[in-house]
Amino acid sequence: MEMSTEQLVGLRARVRATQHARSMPLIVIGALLLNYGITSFGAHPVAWRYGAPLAFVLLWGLAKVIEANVGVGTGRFDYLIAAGFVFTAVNALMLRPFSSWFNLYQLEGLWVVIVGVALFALALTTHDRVLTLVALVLVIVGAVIAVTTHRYYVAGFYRGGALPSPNEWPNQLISGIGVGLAVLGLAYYGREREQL
Amino acid sequence: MTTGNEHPAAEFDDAVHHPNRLGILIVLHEAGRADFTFLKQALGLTDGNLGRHLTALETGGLVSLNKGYEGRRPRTWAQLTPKGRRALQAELDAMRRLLNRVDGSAGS
Repeated sequence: MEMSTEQLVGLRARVRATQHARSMPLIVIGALLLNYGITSFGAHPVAWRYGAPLAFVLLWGLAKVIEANVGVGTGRFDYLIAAGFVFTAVNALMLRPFSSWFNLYQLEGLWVVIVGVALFALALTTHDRVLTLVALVLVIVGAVIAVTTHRYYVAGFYRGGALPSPNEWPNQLISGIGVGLAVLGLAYYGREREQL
Repeated sequence: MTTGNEHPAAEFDDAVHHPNRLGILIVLHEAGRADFTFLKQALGLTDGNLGRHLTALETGGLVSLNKGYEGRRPRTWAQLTPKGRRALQAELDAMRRLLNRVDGSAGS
């Protein structure tokens, strides 16, 4: 008996559903953006330079938990490489001369771009259209924030670390996208569970 | 090695083309590695049946098996080898060519 194309596609879908390969990144990255949008990229609870790479490390950890419990590996997701890239890129932007070129809003935008690029690379390796689309949205939104906020002045940012008001539109936009991603992730989590 | 005139079905590798073996390779390609229990459930096979297919794939160098214990529970992990990855890709390419040929015939 031949295994039909549908059955092969179904097998692939079952593996990905078991890995929660789509929902987990959406939920974790969504929570990350929501957290930083609300706290205006402040240092609490975890500074952005550590929080963003930690999100990818968390994804790797969740995948390893699933591997240990269910017996399905982490597949082609190179979360740790993504975490390393995000950590390096985010921190590089904090160094001079880069930090003196951008105000805080622009940095926020560029940090979102960095997360989007990392997610895009992960999505390409697994040919996941939804994650690819989400990654592109993050890159575009981050770039728009970085480009359109170049005139904003954030008093005392470089000396005293004063942060902008959380009511500013870039943070509201980032928070909104974070909520959207988390809700989308939860919806996909439910669908993945139904497939098991 | 195939020639341009050869029918795509002639390119199928018997070691890979068996439906259950193809299923095992697909799962391992997607998961990186998988344990015996997951493979058994995903493919709906018995212990003996899955064991025979895994042994055949291991003998052909397409899959590597890692048998060990977690606590007191034995656990066997299967992983695709580079040769297995290439064989699966070749098989999928041959299937794709065959489907294209069938579709082309149906349309003409």
